[in-house]
Amino acid sequence: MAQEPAVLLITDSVALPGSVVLWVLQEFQDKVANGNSLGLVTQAYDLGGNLNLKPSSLDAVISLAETAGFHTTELLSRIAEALRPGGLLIVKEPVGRTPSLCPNRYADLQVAAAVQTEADLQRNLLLAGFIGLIIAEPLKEAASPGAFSTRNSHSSLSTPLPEPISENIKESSSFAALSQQFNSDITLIKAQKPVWETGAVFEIKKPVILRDEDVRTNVPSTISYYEESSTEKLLFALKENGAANLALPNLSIDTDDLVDEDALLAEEDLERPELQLAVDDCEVGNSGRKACKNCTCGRAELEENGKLTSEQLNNPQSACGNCGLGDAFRCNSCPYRGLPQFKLGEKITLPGSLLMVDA
Amino acid sequence: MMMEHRRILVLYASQTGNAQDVAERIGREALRRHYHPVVLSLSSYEPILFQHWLPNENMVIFVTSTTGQGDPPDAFKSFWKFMLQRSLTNKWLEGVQYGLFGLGDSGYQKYNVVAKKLDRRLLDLGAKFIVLKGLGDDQHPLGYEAALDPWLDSLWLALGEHIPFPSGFSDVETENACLNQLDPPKYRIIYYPNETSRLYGASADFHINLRDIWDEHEKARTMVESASGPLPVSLVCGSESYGHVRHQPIFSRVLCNVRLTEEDHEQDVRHIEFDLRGSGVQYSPGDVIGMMPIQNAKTVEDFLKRCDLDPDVFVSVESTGMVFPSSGGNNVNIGEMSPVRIRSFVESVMDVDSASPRRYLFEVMSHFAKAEHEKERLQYFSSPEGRDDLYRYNQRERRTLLEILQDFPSVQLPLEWLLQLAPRLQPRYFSISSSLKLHPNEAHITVAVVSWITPYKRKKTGLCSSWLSRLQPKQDVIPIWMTRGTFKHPPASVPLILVGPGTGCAPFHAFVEERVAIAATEPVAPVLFFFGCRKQAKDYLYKEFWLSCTKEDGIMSDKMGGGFVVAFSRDQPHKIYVQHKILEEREKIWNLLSSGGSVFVAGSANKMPEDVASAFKDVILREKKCSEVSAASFMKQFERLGRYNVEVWS
Repeated sequence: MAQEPAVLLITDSVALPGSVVLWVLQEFQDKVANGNSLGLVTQAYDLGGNLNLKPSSLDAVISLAETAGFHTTELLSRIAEALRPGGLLIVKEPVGRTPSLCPNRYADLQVAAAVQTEADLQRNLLLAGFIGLIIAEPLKEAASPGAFSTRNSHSSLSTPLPEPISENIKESSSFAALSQQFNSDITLIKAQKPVWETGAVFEIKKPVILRDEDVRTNVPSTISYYEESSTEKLLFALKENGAANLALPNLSIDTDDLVDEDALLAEEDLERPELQLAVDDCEVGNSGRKACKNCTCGRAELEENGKLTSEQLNNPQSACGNCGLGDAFRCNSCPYRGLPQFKLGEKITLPGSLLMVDA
Repeated sequence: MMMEHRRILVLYASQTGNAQDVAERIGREALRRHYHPVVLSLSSYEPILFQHWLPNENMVIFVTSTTGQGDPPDAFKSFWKFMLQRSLTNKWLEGVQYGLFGLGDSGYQKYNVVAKKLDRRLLDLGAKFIVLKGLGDDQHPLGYEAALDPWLDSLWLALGEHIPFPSGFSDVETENACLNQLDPPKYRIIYYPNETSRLYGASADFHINLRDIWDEHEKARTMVESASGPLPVSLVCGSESYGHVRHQPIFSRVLCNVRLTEEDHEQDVRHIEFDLRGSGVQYSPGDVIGMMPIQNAKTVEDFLKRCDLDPDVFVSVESTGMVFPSSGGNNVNIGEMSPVRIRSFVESVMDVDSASPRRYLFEVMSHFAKAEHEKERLQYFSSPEGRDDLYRYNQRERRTLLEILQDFPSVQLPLEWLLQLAPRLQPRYFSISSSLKLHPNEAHITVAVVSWITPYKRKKTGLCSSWLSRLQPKQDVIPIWMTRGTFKHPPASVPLILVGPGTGCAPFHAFVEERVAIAATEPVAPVLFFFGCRKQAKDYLYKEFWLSCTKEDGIMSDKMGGGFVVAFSRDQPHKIYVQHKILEEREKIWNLLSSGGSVFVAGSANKMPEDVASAFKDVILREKKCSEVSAASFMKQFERLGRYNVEVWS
């Protein structure tokens, strides 16, 4: 085999108008250059749908059929396989107005071809895995005969491709140009193979069901459906039956797949308590608060009492009886606060670590 | 797995032991009420257990603390990572009932956020709480117990409703019985008479060898830790260290110990240098030295006498496992751990004359008081009515274990209770203030000696800082280890804005030394440093060094786009602090930030970090001319990107 084709033209007729080939060459010149060639398959119905192509080898396939029902799901799937991810497909096929009554199989030339409607064709394309269908249809009031307009497929099942708008228009016009080559009762559809390959992995976002009274930010709120995975169903069942010995799938945690923890907090969570200090606590730490000059709350008296007279140091007495027992037993206003234990009537020696307050 | 309906799983994540205390208290009280508690640290609750068992639990109580910057304890992290998975559905914890108590400090911005987030997440996953979450606050005069006591009351009430009482017991009787019961202790002490001790190769007269002493201390610590429950994550100090972990410290000679502040200044700040020769250890600016303080020899003697302990008797410690059945505590095989002298436990495990014990000490003491009035007083202190007075006597006065025992002379606690109730001696950490590039084989620290007057007019000093201030240069050798701090010095091309009043300047001294060394061969980005102290003449730490960097082409010079600004708070009648100076320099700050600069703030906690953050926000407001809200989100972005870093200590 000479060169690997990058673009494949398929037709079930014996010959194609040269203008089509030229159009293709022009359109895909970047792909057809660099040693890759344009492949051409004619009388394709003889293949029976078997194209014999390497998977993911083609950048584009243009399949122009004169026969209705040519593009079956099977054929389209083969084409899809052969296309690279992101590869283009243009199909042309005569379509009927009424839905076909027979299944879309093209088995025998002799049997009247199963005519499919445009909708059928679209469906086949989708089943084969193509997305982003753009359909060229004959304009109702055409300025020039053979003028086509294009529209996007309205199927709600396809995910729109993130294509820039301007490029779309450009492509549409060249596409329309192609479609002008053909008769007006023929539908031309352009489709694209999805950019991802088979076997790619995507995460499915599971919704977080909000509680009634709670509104949280940063939580995806537009989840329309939710499906329990089979693993969870199994776990629930086990929970009910109390069985705990289960070999679970691997426990390595994907760090990318964690809920945002800061999103868990609402505004009110960031509040801090206003502490009403019922207990007078300004004395924690270094300096105690002193009584005001015109004190009325009694702190001044307390401080008065805090100072021990020499009489009290030499001959300590205790009305309550607790003063000598140590701080654990003394009252809040005890003048002997802070002193170690002593015996009533015996002189107190101040330990070195005690400071007496002076004014 | 059979689900006993009276089983309560208590899971805690503790950094300094407080959350563990709370969890154990819940366990004790649950036991008294005839529940079957299982108390476990989250660090031992493997992911495989989460997946299997957590959804099958009937009742789980979570206790977690939040550290200063809103971070969870280390033990919490892998549990939290598991819980945050998107793949967990909102029915995963259906059927699980829970209660949650969080310990935090409302002095910090991110008050109790770990507990709050956990609460939300549990609800998301389908669990249901039986009581509202309790939030303990260190800022409250009575500490977290102020919130814990009423929360516990409501917890027992709710549990009584959700879990039927075993037949034969009544609610009221159980409540009353709770007050008078002595729980079984956590530890069991096994004594080794002197003969056996020789078999283990240890004799009564020890060579005074630092390494031997350290080894024995470590043995004591490890023994108690493993008997306390599953090995805590922090057995290796800090989350990242350099191989010289607490178990294998560097025995470093003190090279120099100089007072930086004037003699007549009220605060004594020391510059201490350590010798690292032969250790092969490397550190970077922003790293931290860890050490275990040595308690005063006389205090230790007093304690041993008061408690009637023979210091030279060999013992080993194991978990009784009785209090929390199947708590999975590593019961150390006696044969593997050779016994240790009682002296070592007192010296290295129990903080006898510095930290304040908890209320539970008083409760247990009441059972051992022989004098009636002491017993009454102790019971009063342990009751809710006596909470205020207990606070005044104990927490506010920083009453130590030794002092309390001296105040209640008729109480004689057995060794196993002493071990359980004494506050654990904690390692201390200091920011390294030197750069290896300028001082190879050395590490310097800047230490303020802590001292204060209590409300009862007693003078108290910090255990570690005063010990450090007495170290003799060229003579004393102490075991130290290196560990990563919160700060990482960015590459020399990043402009820096540093705010470090007082001893907060220590890590920045390292940053700037590093840059000065690099500047000899490469261009470095400028540094704008805000320093603060009380009086220019008294506590202007490292004055010459800072000023030398502002000259000519120095990295803090105006010429190079840097700066050095000092706020002297008490040199004038009104207070001037770093935050005021920050606002004054807003243009320069904005320029540096716009050219990719990062901000670092270090120093004492209290109001400084908040005020500084507020000042930066104002700078953004004015320079960017934007709204309050967008300035705030700007700050938040900065933080997230690692361009606004804070390290504070209390």
